[in-house]
Amino acid sequence: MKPRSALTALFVAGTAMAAAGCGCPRQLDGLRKELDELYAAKLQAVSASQSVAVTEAKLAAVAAHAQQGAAECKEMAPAFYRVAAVAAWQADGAGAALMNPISTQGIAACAALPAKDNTAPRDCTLIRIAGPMALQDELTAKQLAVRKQAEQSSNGKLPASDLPQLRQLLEGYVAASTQLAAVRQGARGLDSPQTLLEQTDRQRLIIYCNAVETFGLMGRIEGMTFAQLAGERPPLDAIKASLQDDAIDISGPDTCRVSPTQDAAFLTAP
Amino acid sequence: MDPTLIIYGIRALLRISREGQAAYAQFEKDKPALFPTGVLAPATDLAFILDVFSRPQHVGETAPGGPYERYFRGTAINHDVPGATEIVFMRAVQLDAEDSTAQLGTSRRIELGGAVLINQWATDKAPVGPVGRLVVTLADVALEFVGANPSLLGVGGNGEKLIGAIAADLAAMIPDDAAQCGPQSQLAERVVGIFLRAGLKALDEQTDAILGEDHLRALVHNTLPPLISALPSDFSTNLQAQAQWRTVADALLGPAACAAMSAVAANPSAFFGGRFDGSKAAGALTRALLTQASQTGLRQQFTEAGFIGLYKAALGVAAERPALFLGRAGTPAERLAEDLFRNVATTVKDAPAPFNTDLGAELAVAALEAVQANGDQFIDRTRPWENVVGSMVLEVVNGLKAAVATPGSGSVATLFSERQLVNLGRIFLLQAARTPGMIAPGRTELQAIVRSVAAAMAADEDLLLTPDDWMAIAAAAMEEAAANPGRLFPIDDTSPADSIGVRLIQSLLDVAASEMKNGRGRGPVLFGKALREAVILTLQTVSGNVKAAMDNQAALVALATTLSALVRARPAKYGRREWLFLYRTLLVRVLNGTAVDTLTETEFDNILAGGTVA
Repeated sequence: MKPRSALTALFVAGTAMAAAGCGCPRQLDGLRKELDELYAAKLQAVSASQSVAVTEAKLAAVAAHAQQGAAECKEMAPAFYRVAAVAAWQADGAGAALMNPISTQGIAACAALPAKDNTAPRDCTLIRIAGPMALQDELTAKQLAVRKQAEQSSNGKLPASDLPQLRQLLEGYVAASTQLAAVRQGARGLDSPQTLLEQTDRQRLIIYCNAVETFGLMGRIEGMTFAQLAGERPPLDAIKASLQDDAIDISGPDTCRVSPTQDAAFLTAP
Repeated sequence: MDPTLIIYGIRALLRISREGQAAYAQFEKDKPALFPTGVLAPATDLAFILDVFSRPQHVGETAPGGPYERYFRGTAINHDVPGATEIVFMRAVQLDAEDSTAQLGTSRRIELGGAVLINQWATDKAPVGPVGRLVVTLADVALEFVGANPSLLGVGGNGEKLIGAIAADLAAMIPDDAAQCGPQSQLAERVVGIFLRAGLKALDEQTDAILGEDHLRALVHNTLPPLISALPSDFSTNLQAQAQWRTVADALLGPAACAAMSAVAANPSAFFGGRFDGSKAAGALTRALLTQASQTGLRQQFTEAGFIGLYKAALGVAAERPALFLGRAGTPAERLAEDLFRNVATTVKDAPAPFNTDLGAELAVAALEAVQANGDQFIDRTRPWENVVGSMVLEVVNGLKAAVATPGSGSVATLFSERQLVNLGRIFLLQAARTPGMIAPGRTELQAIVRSVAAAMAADEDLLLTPDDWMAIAAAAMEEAAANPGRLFPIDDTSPADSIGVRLIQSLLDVAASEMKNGRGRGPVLFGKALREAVILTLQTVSGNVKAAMDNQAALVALATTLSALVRARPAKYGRREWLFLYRTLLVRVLNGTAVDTLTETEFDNILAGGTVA
């Protein structure tokens, strides 16, 4: 090889190395932006009662790309898995098949870090949260479908045959709540910001509120009595006890009410 | 160079680059991240009511006989009772409040809300940021040097001062695209690393130098931030510019920084002693060097050695004549330095071969040395002196180019190596710088003299004189021409062949060549040192009396011929020394119009014995 060619090759190799070094952060930045934009688009579509199918398909694609990015950029894997997990969560059904592998791989990636989850406390916590939250969203979608069914019936009642499904939903909420409580417990020892714990608790509260509504649907079962309904309480009380153990106030009917404009708050948050 | 230092230097560079990438990765990983919120089913009063009344402690309220039995049918609200919904809701609120009383003292209220952006770290828990990491890396680099050179970074050591100087200005060296680890940022990190490495190396080699931290800080401040900010505005998108700057920084910045640091360390008072801050000149020259090299390209015109040679020479000017770098109205020092390099580069680029390479750069170095030595004599600081260097080079090149291009055995190109050509050029330039008025706008006297000497050189087809001989002749010719303008050689575009200086040299060459044609066996002496001395003697003698030389040119030739014939005829008695003695003695007599062709051997002997002739 001539000296000039050798120098050129060296330069190209050097540039390629430098590009590779910055390629992962750039890829992450791109996926992060895409996720934020798709999430905002999904919120707008929901508020406008438009279909979110296309957006969710795109979110699923982001999840898949981020999962791939994590495999290619080992040193930034938790950050990529965090994007993947959140995107898969927000992709709903379109991301359902991705959620478990992403969670498993992401948790393993965090465990492999020098300081484990505390190497990237927010990312690792979010990876652990996304799975239970995807489950809670799935349960809530089913719950809303049952509620719609009740509202469309002539007497506002549900057939007794719906009770097993409602029980399953309630047990599902318990599972999601238990997992989140465990994540929250683990996050306490990390160097993550307080806002992460607060937002996690907010999700636990959402699960609780959805469980209360599910419990309320049980009260709409034909022939249901308060004595019978009291017998269905243990799952709901388990969730409630978990929140109370963490000194979260869940008293009053306003606990589960939210301002409809608050969902757009993140767009301007620092 | 100490191989250990090379190894440490490479490690340091790699670390700087790697840490820059790591800092960017950390920045991206730690950006605020979206934490969405889960889907919340709209809250209903009925769910709240059922939750409260189904609690074991309240089931009795709705049981048969209970106070609220009438408001329900099973678990449904009995709408036959007016206001039943409101009544049971109020009761549920009351009961729920009673249930919660015990906990309210310690519990906290959480408001449901939307998604939020979450930081990676709690306050004060985040790892060191990108800039901080760079600082840590610099310290790490320094520590590696400490391993090989413990004294360099001791308390009050020059290395410690240099680190402090760089750290003090580090924020100013972080470009706008640092957050994205953009091309400017990558180059800046590289530049800082190279500078530190070169600086430590230079200081290590000058352990006796005593430098103030403020001096080093001034040097760093005037060099690195301006250099980083001088990157072209389209740098981020201009791949060619990125490639050129990267190559140039790698190749030139280390030697340049080393040279600057060495110059400052060797003579701090020259740079910081007076009213003028010499570090500004050093910084401006460093920036100008890299800018010019990035535009010209490495090896397209000069090699790295050519660029660094120019830079060192310019630094020498700054140290010796700092006032030249004060700048003028409308021309700050930075612009002046840029113009200096640009003019030299343009001059050399447009010069004919072989002057359009490092040879031209070395001539420019010689011109800068002349400025350093005698700049005050011919430079008007109120005018753009930075153009003078290029003009001086151009005059020498134009003077030599015809002789260099002439083919044949006597060609200057054949006779002189490039090094000797540069030395020849230096002779002309240094003498010109010592001569008031020779270098001035619109004057081509230097070029005319160079052309004349070159023409005489071209006439030496038999190679009777060596390059060293010709350089001695050139020095004498230049000195005489400077002292007696317009006598020996033209000072304008007139053909040099008609000048008495060239004609006399050619005549002596002809005599010598004629002698040599008879072969060495016939005892010729007029070549080499004798011929050189004869030419110099002739030029020195006739320069003040050109008319006599023109009138008696034939007699001068005859004298040389006669003396050559004499020593050839009596080789046992006369040699080179005798030839030269007789020539020197009789030359004035010939110029006075006195014939010498009738002198006898006895009279020659008398002259050699110290006597006179009639």
